[in-house]
Amino acid sequence: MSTCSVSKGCFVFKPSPKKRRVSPKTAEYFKEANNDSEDSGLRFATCQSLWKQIKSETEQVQEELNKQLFDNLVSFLRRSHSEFQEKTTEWTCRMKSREIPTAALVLGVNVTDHDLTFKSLSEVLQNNITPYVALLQAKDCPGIKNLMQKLMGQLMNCCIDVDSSDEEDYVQVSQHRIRCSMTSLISWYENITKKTDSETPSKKRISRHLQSPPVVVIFKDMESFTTKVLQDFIGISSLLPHSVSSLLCIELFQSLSCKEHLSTIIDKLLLTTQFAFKLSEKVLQVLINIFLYHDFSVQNFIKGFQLCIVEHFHSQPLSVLCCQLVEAKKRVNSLSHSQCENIRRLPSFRRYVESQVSEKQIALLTADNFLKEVIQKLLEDLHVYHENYVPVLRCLHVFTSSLPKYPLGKQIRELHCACLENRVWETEEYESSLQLARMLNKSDLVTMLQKCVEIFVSSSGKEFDKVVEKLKEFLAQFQKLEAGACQERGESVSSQKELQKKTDLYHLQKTLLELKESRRSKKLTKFEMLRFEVVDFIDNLVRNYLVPADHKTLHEIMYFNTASALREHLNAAPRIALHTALNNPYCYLKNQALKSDGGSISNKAPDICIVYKLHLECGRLINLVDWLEAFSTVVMAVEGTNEDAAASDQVDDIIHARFIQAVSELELLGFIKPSKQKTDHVARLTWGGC
Amino acid sequence: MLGSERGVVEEWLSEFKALPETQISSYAATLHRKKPLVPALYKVIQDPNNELLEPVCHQLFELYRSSEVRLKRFTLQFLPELIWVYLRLTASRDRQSNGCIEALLLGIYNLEIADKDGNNKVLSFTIPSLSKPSIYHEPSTIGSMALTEGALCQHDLIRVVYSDLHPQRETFTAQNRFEVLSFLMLCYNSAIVYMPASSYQSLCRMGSRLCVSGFPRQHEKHWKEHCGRVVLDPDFMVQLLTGVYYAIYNGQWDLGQEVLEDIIYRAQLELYSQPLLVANAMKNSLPFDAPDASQEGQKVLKVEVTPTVPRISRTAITTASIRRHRWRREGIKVRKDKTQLTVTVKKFVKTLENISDDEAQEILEEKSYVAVLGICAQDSMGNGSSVGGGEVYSFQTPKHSGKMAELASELARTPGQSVALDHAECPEKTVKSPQSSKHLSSNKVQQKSKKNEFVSTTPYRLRRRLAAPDTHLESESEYSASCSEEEEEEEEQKEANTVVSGRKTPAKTKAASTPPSQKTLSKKMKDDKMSNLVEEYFEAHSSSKVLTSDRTLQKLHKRRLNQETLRDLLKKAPLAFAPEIKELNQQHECLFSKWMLQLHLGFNIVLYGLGSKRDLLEKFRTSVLQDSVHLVVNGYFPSITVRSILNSITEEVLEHIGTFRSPLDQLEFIMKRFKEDSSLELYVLIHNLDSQMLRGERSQQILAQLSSLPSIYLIASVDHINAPLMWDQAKQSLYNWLWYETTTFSPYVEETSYENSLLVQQSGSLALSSLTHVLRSLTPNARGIFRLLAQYQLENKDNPSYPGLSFQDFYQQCREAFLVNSDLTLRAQLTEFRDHKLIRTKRGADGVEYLLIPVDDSTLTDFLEKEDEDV
Repeated sequence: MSTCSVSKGCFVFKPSPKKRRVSPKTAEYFKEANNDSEDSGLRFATCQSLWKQIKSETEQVQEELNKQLFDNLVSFLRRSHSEFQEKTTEWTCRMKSREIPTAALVLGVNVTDHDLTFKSLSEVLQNNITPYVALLQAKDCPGIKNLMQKLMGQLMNCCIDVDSSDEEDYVQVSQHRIRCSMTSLISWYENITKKTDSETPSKKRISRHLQSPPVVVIFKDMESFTTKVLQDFIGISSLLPHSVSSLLCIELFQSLSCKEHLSTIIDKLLLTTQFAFKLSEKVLQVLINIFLYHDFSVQNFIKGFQLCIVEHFHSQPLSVLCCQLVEAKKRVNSLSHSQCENIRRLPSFRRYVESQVSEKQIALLTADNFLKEVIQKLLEDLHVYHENYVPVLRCLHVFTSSLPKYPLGKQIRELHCACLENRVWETEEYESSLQLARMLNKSDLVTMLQKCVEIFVSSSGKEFDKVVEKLKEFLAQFQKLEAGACQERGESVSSQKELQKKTDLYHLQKTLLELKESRRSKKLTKFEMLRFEVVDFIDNLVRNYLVPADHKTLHEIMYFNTASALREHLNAAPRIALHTALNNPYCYLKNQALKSDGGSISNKAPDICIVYKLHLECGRLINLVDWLEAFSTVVMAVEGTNEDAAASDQVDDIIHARFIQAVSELELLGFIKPSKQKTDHVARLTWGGC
Repeated sequence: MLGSERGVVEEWLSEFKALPETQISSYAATLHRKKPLVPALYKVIQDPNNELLEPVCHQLFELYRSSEVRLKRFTLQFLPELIWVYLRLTASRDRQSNGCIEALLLGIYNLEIADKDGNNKVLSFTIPSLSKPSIYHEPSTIGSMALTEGALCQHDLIRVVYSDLHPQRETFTAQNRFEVLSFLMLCYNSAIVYMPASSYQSLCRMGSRLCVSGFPRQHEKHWKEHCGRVVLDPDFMVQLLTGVYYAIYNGQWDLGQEVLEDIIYRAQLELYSQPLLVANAMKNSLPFDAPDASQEGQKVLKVEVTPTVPRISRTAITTASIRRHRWRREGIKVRKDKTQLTVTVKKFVKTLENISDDEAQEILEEKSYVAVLGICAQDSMGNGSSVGGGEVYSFQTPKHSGKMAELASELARTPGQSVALDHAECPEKTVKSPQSSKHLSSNKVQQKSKKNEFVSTTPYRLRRRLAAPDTHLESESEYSASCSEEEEEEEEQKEANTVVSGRKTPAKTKAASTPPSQKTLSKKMKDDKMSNLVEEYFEAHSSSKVLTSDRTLQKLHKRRLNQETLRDLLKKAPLAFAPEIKELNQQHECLFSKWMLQLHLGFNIVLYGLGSKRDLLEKFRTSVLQDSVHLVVNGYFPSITVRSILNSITEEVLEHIGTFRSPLDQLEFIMKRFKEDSSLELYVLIHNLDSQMLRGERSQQILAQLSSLPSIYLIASVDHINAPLMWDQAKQSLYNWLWYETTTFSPYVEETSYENSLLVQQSGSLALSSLTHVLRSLTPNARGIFRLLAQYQLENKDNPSYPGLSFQDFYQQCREAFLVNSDLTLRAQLTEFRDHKLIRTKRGADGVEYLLIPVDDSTLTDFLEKEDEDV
């Protein structure tokens, strides 16, 4: 069956049932996509399990982040409802009960993540407050009728869910048959509440909810509702006997900002040894940039992460080793010869080999078994490196994040990127932040040190016992300083006092100068000495442990590095691709005839390129006749060299046809459109491009 | 109808005609004394088949048009009945029989919207101030704490609201029907105090019937008149309520309450908030029993002005006080607006500040961003993304039309060899390009008289005058402004102006005012280039005049090719660079299994890049998808809709029989089915997701939601340069795209084949077939009418400014050909044509309606020939 037709645009193909494959496994496609199918099954399994872990981790993070917010909301709902129920006669309360209690939830700009939040919110509400929750979305409700229909559908459905299990005489009415109006909603509500009131309180489900549960309506993305619809809805619902006034009583709730969300995610996914898979600096930078400059969406960030995983396992045959250390060691033993060869081809491994003595070099390059042993060791090294890297990074972050102007960035992810990129201690920013750190005051320094101690103690690295000891020693020394500080203080106080004495301007200047002089010449105080020591110690830690990952042998196994692939698939620029194809077809069609130097185009290029190039020379309107003539001039010049059939009618028609085709293609691409302004003219829709 | 009643009516009809001008006022005074007349007229109006109806309507209109106000009111009392009969007949689609009522209503409307001088009336309403006492409230009763008189005065609550202008209406359409009727009700309400009781009854009857007809509540009523549902408009209902409110307190207690209930019932069903609010307010303020009926004839609306002072009942109801009733309505509107203001935001959390503080740190580290992007661009060499944005998106420099030919000849002259034409790189050229045309002329000037060369003393204006006519003379391809509407008076001068305005750039004017040597000028241009880009843009777009040559395709003696010949010709032309293109395609084909993998992992795939991706996707389909259920959608197909896509899923994939009320319902059904049955899998291939028909917001939303289902795998292609603008963040995340660049360089044969391209002759085979199809189902008379129009259009086909056939002329012709007997029948027929898009109407400058058949002449000729064969 062909898919060209002049009468329809949709074609369904259904294979006969016996031919139909029973949903082919995704793994098979993974295998097919890889020609060397050696470990692909294992690789795919690893990939999937890794992704599953990461997914559950992120979901958990999301849940925790939302918990606080949801708790607040729930308590708000309880409060507002109970007030209403007590039916106090006090004036203020009565005023309040006439209002519709409303919670405004500010979620920030990343619209795409909100779906999840709302879904879990309505779940939480359903579990804790009331079974009657309706979630309305702007796109479902172009008019008040649709809104009511959706509202009632959701409310009544959930009521049916509650009752169908234990009620015998409840008539199931389909949503379409009920006429959508407030009266039917009210009568439904009264019916329901009566029923739940009369029921025995032994039923667990009901007792969890309040007596006569409130109806909660969630408007998702309130701004995109048409104002009319909302006004009408509030107008109508204020006709409910409970609340006559159309006033809304709004309380605002603020969710966590998406950036904090991202930080948590990065913390949980990247700055941990839990997952063997790592992102290289460029890749991470691309992901973060997409987040910051395009969508603020954590969902998309995770999607990008998923793509990284898939790409990594797909393109890197050695990624089979990208798993937990124990497992990886086992897998090393079963590596095939070709995989060993793959390892030998890794640039980082080659570097490693070159640094060895010659016998070992030979052994590494020839004996698979020896190689495997070394690999195991190297993998272990890599693991240890990761274990140490994270706490030291956090420790450094404690220092840099409190410096003025944040030379190394405020967020830990920036620091992480900087450390991955190259040796961080060689950068200017690091230098300046160390300088700033040398000027920290004591109390800050002490709290930082304490934080560092906490970080190291809680970390899993084994080498940090000494570090902790040393840090504790520093702390003790600082405490000792307290005692010794008295004298110094006395000194400074005296000079201070001198300043405060009443003097004339000349004397003041003199004393100030003296003070300055004394300070310059003064030997470093004990505190300052200690401070230098501390900073040097930290500097040492950094130099030892924060080596960029791509200096490590075998980092290719763990680190996904092809940022270009990621960018191409996630943040593509179709316009640039079109532009390149039209301006420089040689980029794609490797034919010598098309080769040209910058900015120009050969006259043998495909028709559309020539037509495009010609149209760039025009203003807002293009005369088709001129265009056609120019085109045929170019084309004839080329044809003329081949055959001397001087402009026979046949040829002419063909050129005409080619021109028509190319012009309509440009129209399809959106460069031009027909214009009524003048006969036989088209309008240009783009500017520039030459 | 009884003979006596008939007699009364006939007498009434005849006596007014004989009436001399002077006696009209005395006649008006006596009219209401004729007791049997009014009921008889009601009977006539209620019966659409009565032969007296037409003269009666005519007579009523005559009365209304007369200057005597009492006669006017006499007509007005029948208004509720007329509206009811009209709406009933409209609902029952019995349009033929209510022509005269329609005409009467329209006539009254058109008389009322204009004042004596023929200007449009604007009604103004004053919204009462809360601080000043009115019949509705007493400031002292509200004022307790915050509402002191002074505070209220500051709120400036006295506002004058003006009604919209009401345009003249010639016909009723579904859009304007209730606008007109609401206005008529407003007129009625403003004269309601003068109406007799029978009119109130008729008003209440109308209200009840309109609201209840066709709904279950109708069965509770004692009247059993059959009528379908009548569409109602909230504004109209509010007007109705205003009248009913008056009627309730003026003798129609029972009927009034009934109609009030009915209106509430209807408003609840329709979820009309305005009438609901008004009606509920009315209902809640009703007294327990009917107002004292003893003072019959005294129209009383009791108002408690203030509880503190002794009760005053206002007996005088003036039109002014009635108008205040309407304030209620306006007041409601205003109050509603205020609710938005009074929304109390309790804690406007300060966190906003905190956020912005944080974000300032991170947002716009553009440098690093660009740096990273740049790095990546270098990484991905070979797919051609190493082009900076500036090159692609820069503004257009003003060009002149000779430029294209110039480039063409340049390209032609050096075959096989490339010519550098990069303007950005050779500033010399850019300088020339905006100027060169003038250069040309000025060169000529130079040749003629060396003295006239660019001398710094020559004023710019003068030079312009010198240069411009020259251009006009010298240039071979006659230039003219393409400003079609304006006439070509003062030809020379204007042309000169356009030449200059079309070409000059700010840079040039600057250069001209301080004419330096050529070299410094070019330098200056280069410096100014960036800053001038914006100005140039506005310069280029400031005037609607564009300078291009006037040549048309007709002069080329080239026949327009039609689709088939075009196709044949293209087949003859060899495909250039076939091997390279093949290689390119093979590269893409390697990706097939990767696509499948990623589709299964929850991503969807979108292809972009130059060249038709149809063949590639076809190949993908035949090689990979053969054994699974899949749907191919040709987005470029001119009449593709989301509906048809959804239909083919529900009908063919899910094998569901039945229809859906809206695409959203259908989508919901599909999503439900796919979620329930995990074994269902569907691959969707969409060629040109960005096509004209699918690029709408709603269609994209639906497709995005569809694609977000885990067991629907979408792979689509886009071609338009602005395609990514279709999707906002929400849609993009639903789509979950992975982008793949697949530049194929294959010609878009299939995509451009659907008769929408520019140069291809519109063979109109589709239009023709639909024409014949529709016409075959019409009556012979209707076909004749259409034929007349078609013939007339063909007779005028050589007249380029043919506006169409005016309605009046058309009517005349149709009458002469015995095709219609009244203009109403013709109008009804035309409506049918218009519904089928067979004709188009447009209003000429003089307000006359012109009719056109929007089909090109050759198709029309074909059609007529075919018709002749059939007959």
